[in-house]
Amino acid sequence: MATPKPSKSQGIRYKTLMAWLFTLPGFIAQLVFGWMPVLFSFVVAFQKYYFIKEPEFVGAQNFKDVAIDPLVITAFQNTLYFATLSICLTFALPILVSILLMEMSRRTIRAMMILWFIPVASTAGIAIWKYMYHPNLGLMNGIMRLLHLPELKWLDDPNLAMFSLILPGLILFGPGLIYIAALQGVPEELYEAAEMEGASMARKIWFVTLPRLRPIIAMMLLFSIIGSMQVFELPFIMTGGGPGYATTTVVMYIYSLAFGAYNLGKATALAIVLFGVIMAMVFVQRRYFPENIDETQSRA
Amino acid sequence: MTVRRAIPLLFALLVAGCGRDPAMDKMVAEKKLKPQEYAVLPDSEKVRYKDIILRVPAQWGGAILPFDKGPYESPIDKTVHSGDLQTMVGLYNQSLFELQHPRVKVEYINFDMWTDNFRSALAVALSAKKAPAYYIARDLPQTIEQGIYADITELMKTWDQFSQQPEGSIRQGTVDGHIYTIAANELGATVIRYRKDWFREAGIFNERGEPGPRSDWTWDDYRAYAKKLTDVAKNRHGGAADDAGSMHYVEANGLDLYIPDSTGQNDWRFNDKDPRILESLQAVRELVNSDKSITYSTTMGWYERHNEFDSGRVGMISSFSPHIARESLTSPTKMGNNIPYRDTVGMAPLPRGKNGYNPLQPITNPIGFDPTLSPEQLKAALDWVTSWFYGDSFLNRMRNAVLEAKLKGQQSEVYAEYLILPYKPKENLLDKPLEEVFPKDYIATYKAIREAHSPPLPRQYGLQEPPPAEFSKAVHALYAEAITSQIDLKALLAKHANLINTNLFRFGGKADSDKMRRYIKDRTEFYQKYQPEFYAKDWKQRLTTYYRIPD
Repeated sequence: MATPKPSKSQGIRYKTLMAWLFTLPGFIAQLVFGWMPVLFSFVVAFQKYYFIKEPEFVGAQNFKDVAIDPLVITAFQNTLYFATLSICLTFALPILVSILLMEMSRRTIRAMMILWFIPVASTAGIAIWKYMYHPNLGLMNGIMRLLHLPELKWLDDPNLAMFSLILPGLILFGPGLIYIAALQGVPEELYEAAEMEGASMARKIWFVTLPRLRPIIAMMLLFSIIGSMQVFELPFIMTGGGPGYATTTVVMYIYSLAFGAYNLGKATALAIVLFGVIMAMVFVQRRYFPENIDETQSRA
Repeated sequence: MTVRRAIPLLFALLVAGCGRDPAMDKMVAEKKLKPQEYAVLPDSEKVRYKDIILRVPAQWGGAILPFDKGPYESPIDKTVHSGDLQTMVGLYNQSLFELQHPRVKVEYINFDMWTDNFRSALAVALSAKKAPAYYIARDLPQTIEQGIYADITELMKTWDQFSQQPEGSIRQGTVDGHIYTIAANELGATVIRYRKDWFREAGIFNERGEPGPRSDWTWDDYRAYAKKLTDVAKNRHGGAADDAGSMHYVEANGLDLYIPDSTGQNDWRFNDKDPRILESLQAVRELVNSDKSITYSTTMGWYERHNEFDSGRVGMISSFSPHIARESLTSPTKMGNNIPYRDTVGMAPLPRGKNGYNPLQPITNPIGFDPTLSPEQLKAALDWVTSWFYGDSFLNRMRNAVLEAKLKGQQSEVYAEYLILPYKPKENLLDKPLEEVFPKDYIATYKAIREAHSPPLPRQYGLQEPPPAEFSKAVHALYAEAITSQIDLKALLAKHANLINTNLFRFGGKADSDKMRRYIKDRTEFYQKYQPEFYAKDWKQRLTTYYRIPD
């Protein structure tokens, strides 16, 4: 007896079922490990939370505590300062370097990419930089002495500490690699056409390279904003937030509220405030810096 | 009934019969067997009888077999044949303990309590009911308030060595009359670790004629010595400071960094009233920037400070006394092959204030117990801990340590263990007096530590205290800013006082003046009795100023 052929609708239903079944483990993982903590944090923010004892509902008290805490303002100022410096130096500079690098031979590009990539080992790198900044024994002041320049206090100077934190990011963060990869995908014909039109190098960069890099730049800018607003390990390892509170960032303060002061409610409330601030920044970025160059042009 | 139908039924009955009968298990467990009765049980019964599980952290009170058998046939083979006596003795102790406590099954677990993320790891382990039975008790009293430790008040009443614990240790772990911690194995104090050879070069000698500070030295002496030991050209500094900053000025003078809140709104407020706090900021700024006798770095912590000392760049640092005693035996050539540790590294109490205050306070590493343990588990955990730190397990470990050290031609650590032990061990295993092993400065400092007393703490009276780690961080930030900036110190103090008052002293609810009164009364009596000079010169004055209690 011949097996009855499944109907078209049965086939679709089977496919849908299979699709759901295959997606389910990932979906559950996302729900449990991704969304549940987020939702749970909204509950904890309204509680006095104990590790063992039953939590107590405290209404908006944790948010009130955040609002009157002078250290929250300091932490946000430091974080914004870090984000601005970080975006200017570690986000913008590699674009320029990548574009200039593309003018070199393929062999040079490859060698530079390797050199760029090898030190991207952030935690180990950060720990080494901490010692490089040592006022008496560190490499940085050794270089200053060699150049007959006045020695600096680096991490011990409240005015210089934040800049000193950003500096390793120039080497340890490798967005340049991503730009180079993207630049290699820009069609040669576009440059040839521009050259035929008599465009200078600056004009080629402005009218060909940058517009083609725009989707990547938009995405990297987004990551950069989110990443630098959540900076933690750099100041945590290198300065512990000091000197004074000169390098205490919001996430560091959240950590210290949660696991230093055992005030999980206030820590979570502050995390929610930070979440709101980042979301607002992302909204502005998405609104005024869309990825799609053609969409922008057609709008214009 | 057909045979075919009967088979599943028979199978079901068979399975049910093979299963453990909880009632039977309970009966076995409830019959309290003596060790000799337990020893004659068949293996299957022995297994069933063990119903009290004790999770012991392998790194602190246990011994875990190697994870990898290497070229041997099994991990235990590796332990035996590679001469890993410590693990063997650990297992022996486990077996001995289980024989003494037939119902208990000890399970070693890997739980590192010495890392920075210990707090979060412990919180997760407790929530999951997978925490070790006991662990180091940090951040007291906040962690007690969090419910992280079991209340052991009743158990303490029946414990013969309760009174052996240093007073300060009991005070640390007592909240509102309830006891939550016991002292572990290290009695000590924050002391000054110094270079004897540098002191000899500088011509500074103590009351015994040895190079080093006198036992009653003051903060002014500390500053003068730090200057004398400094030679910037040789990259030598008198001292090294991390963010702790106050450079002993506050400790020396017994200054209170927080005082009762005169408004009665909160229990406490930051002490920006006492002019000596301002003096301490000024002093710190001068030590680092004018005297240049103290090397300072934001990145300098406990380890960095000790590295500076060990590398011969610094002559004095604050340290923990048990570490010095241990190192003198375990690392006799640490400071160089030609200079024995005991002749190079000295130990002295912290400098005193001009007001007669003695800052020497005995402390111990406190242990707390998992609050989710059953009463039987809690009792077993306490038995394990006491056996490990001064009982049978302790003695077995010490005996082994002596033998092992002899076989390896090393100095035995046992002397240090006895020097720093808060308890009275059941047996003295030492073959010579401690005075023959340790230099006079170690012996004298330890004598002073054992004789010193610790003042009452607010927590004992049910008064809330600021979170210790956060408060200490806030104070460090104040001193760090005094050192690294040129800001007017009065303004700096006001800024930080506001920050600390807003963040760390708002506990919610009004201050309890009755509790405060009792606390201050007991503290006054304490100083009258143990520090009369300080009481007369300073404390009496404080009672009329910022220690006056609001009605």
